[in-house]
Amino acid sequence: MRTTLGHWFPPAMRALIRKEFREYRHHRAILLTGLGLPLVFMMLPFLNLVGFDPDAPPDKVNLAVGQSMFVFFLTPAIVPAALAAYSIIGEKEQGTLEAILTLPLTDRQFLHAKIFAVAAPAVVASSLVYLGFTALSALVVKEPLRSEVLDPIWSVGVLGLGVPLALFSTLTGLSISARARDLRVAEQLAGMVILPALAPVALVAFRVVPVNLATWATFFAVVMLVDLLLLAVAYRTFERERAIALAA
Amino acid sequence: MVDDGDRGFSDRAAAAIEVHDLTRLFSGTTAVDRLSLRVERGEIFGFLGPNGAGKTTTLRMLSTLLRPTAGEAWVAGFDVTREPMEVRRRLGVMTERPALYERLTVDANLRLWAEAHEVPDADGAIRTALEAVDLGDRRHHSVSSLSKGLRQRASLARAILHRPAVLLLDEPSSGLDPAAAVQVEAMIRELVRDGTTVFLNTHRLAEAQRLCDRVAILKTGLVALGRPAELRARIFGNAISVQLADPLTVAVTEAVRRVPGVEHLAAQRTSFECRLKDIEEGTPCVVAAVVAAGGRVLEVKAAGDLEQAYLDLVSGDSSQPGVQEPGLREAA
Repeated sequence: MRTTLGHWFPPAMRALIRKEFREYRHHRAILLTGLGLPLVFMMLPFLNLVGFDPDAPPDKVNLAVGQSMFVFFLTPAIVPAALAAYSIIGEKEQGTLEAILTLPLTDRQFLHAKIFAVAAPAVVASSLVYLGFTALSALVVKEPLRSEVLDPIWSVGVLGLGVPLALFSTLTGLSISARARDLRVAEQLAGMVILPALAPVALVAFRVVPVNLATWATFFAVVMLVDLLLLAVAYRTFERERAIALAA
Repeated sequence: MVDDGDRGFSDRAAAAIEVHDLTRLFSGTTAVDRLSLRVERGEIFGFLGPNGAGKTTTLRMLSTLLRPTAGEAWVAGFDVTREPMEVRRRLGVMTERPALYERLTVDANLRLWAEAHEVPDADGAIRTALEAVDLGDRRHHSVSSLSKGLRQRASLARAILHRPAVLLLDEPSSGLDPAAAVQVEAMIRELVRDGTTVFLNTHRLAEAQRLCDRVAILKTGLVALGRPAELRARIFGNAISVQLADPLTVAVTEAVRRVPGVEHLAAQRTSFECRLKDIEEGTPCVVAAVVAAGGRVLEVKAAGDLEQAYLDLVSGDSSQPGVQEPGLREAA
């Protein structure tokens, strides 16, 4: 009898996910996007807060912290877009798509493996970067900025929305990657398509919408709903025949 | 399901591959037209045809990458449309391009296949497969550092490492130097001895003639099916070609004509072709008659080869003497 892990992640899926991770390690552009970009995203807001005048009025402090926090919503959206754009185009460019589709994988398992291999590292990277930022801020940033940064409501928002934002970005990037013939076009398209998803977050970060649990819960529900719709579309539109025809 | 050795054939499997009226249309154009054939277990089956004949489309339907528009196909006893996962578990596929991940090592490429097919001892299986293709020392090399020939071998190792019941090979020796091609042929024979059935898509007629138990010639539909020697005989009949060391003389020609069973003789300057009633009985008599008439025989062979037969079949020209109508659309 299959274990729970075996049920959700059958061996062929696990093998494909491990292959994706191995490929990331040997792909300079992906390493740069997956590791370099989050590090930049961690340092920029940190330096912004370190250099900020702690005696500024409270509304300016709030805005500065909000702007810094906005960067941590960018990470789970931007990193998967780059990885996802490469995900299927990369197979086409290497001529491996046809071969990999002969493995004992259903179309859905193939998609799930690709989604997991893109979204999981992006969520982990963005969470680690955020935790690094809060740790650095706790040590270095002065009050009242520090208290504002360490307010748990930001952690709920950044960590809670990380998964649905990463999924949104992954699913749109994969859809584009499955249809595009050129990696650069796919990357640019994926990058552009995710921007509207960040508009509501920007409203919070820039304090147009209040930062509270209800706001995050609403955003979470809306983005998850969009993700489910995108997943349903991906199920309907991803067909090995079409993917192979486009790869030819 | 019963286990056939450890190859995983279904108990319904009468043959390794069975295809009935398989048809595939692309936007109204017929790529494969009502193809019917049967490949027996442990057979090396050659699939020949000109470009655009539907060979790759057939291979893709058998490997569950394309759905047939009509007709049915079974691999190892499993229906390619209704049981694609069962088919994929029992198939090894070597595509025409090596299809390897260039940034990864040979080991990492093969490991993906070993893990996906749940090979119990992945390390051992990778080592064995790489040794079989003489690539054991390249295991930890990056694929990008390998030549085309070595990549082709690595691709074959990947296709065989889970010991598939049926191996689909698309132009396995394409791009290989003659020595490497011979090595690949030897490997294919070894696999068949080990119980694998091989479906070989090839342009190399000499390779098909040497390697295949039977060949099918495809030109959208099935043009001919049989053993290479049978196909040759269908086109050229029981004809032999005799090459002499010296110019052909009247005495030699007359001597050959007098041999019982010689039905037709076509003379050239230093050679002749003749059709015999019975090739096995007639050939020694013809050679003896030539020698008795003072001729010096350099070579005797069956007239025509698979390449000529193939060209005649795909061009629709079967007007040679002794031609029998090839079995159109017939199953084995």
